[in-house]
Amino acid sequence: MTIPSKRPVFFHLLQLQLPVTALVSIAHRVSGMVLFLALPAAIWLLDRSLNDAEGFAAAGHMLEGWPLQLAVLVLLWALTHHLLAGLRLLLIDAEIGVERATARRTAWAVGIAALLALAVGALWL
Amino acid sequence: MSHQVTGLRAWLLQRLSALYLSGYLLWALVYFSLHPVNDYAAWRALWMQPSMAIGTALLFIALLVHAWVGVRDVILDYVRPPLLRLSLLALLWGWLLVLAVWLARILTRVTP
Repeated sequence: MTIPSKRPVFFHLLQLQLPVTALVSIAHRVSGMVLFLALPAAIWLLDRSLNDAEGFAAAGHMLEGWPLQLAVLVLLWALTHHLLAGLRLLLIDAEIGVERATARRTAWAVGIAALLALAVGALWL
Repeated sequence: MSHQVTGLRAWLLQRLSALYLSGYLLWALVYFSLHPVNDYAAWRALWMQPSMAIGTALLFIALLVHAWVGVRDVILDYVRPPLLRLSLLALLWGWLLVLAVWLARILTRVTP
């Protein structure tokens, strides 16, 4: 049973101005899905590295070549963002940092820290 | 389905597994910065320690539980048609089961 809704619907993505907390929340979900999709590759790599000495060496050489470097950088961002945004939510569960001003500050911190990790990773590779 | 995982239980499982995952990650970060593993023998030797085997087995369980709750939430949020929703949830179950068997085989192969 649905009641026809009269509420306004506005989904123009370029004109929507989401608060930083919402962006960090969306990125938390996106990064989680990215990590989920990367699981088979990660397990395969672990399997290979433990198989024999050649496999271990091959796993170490995976970082040569830009397509895989790019993938590793995306995963580095996803892991950092997902971890930090998740810890932020755990603190909020514990009623730490719930106030709007604080919540916005911590959201900025999470988003920037994850991008910094990406930058450091890009320089290091 | 009387043993369906309710919202609250799933929420709790997600949080508990998150705590273990972040703790393990922190440990791994510190451990591997202090003791870099440069060759295959050292890598294998590390996995021969019972604490490593147990800690990592728990990591794999936490990882699969965490992935299950997370992807389940995404499916429940965006997929409305009941049949499609159920099929995707079943697919997720099957997929995580495959990963679980794979991880268990890796662990039993490398640990004493």
